[in-house]
Amino acid sequence: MKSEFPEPMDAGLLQIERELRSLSPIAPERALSEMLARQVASESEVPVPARVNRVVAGPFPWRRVGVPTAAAAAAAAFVLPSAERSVDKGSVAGGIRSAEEARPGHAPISWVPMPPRSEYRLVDGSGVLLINEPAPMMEYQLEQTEHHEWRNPRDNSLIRMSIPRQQRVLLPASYR
Amino acid sequence: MSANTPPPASSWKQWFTTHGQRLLLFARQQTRTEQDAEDVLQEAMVRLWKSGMIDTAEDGANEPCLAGAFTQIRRSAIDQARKNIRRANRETRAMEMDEPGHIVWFQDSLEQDERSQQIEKAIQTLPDYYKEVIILKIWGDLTFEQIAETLDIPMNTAASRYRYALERLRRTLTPAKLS
Repeated sequence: MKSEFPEPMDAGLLQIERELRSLSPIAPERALSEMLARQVASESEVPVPARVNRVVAGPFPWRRVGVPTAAAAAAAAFVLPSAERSVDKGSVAGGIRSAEEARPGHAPISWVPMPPRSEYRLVDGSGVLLINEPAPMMEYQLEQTEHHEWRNPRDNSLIRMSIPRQQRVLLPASYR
Repeated sequence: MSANTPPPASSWKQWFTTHGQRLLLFARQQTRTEQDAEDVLQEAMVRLWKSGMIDTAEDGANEPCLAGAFTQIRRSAIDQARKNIRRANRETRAMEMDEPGHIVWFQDSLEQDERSQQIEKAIQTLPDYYKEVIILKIWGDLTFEQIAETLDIPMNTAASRYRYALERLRRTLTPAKLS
């Protein structure tokens, strides 16, 4: 290997380098590799949750419903251009799509995921001193809300999903 | 390194099988627990996929960019370190369970090879800014230019840190001569 140093390394350093190179890092577990492959594969399809994906994937049965009823349904389910709509996890399956999307033969929307963000809030009065051995601990309760958003670049409509969680955090405490 | 059509998802598994060891090693060095290392690695790989950073392999096919993968691991690790509440939570739990915080990095150490264990211990006691350079150079197989880009430091700094790290390892691993 060609040295990248202006001055060559002495024999001792080269020996250390050789010894380091002889070590083999532990390989990732197979489950991790499988999970990554699945994750990358799913990212390469449509970057929205599976439930949303299923909603937009199938053509709407216009013929069965009839044109007037379908038009009314489509109007009700419109995502108006530039309108923001907050959707919880349950209502996503209910069908969010524009009438344009619902037309037979039209390509589905490709929703672009926005960077997720999390909010943490300490529950008031949740600090409890636990007298444990060998050290006392303070127990706090945190409320976390994870916000996920997907944007339709065509008309800037948004799908929002907020996941509330509660966490219990234990921190070492001192009697002082 | 370039940003073109990404390789098909199917080729990722093969690529990860080839480079997973070195990527996970760097993720381990950048984090403090095995779980964090795996989380960081996962997030970094998704970011790399989305970034579309690719290299051209020897056979002319597109493959994910290895130097870019290290960069994404470092960024993900920095992001994760900011989520200090989760970290504190996990560390407290680890403390409660009396788990050792030590993660074994090398197969050879697992196999109870005494010299390998000495070397691993010596590496792990290096300051982080030496450790990351050593790992990227020796096991990441990056050039100093790529290391500099990954760690956002000048190339000369990367090269000198590498040399200082080797010198420190030599001092640690060579028994002191009796006068």
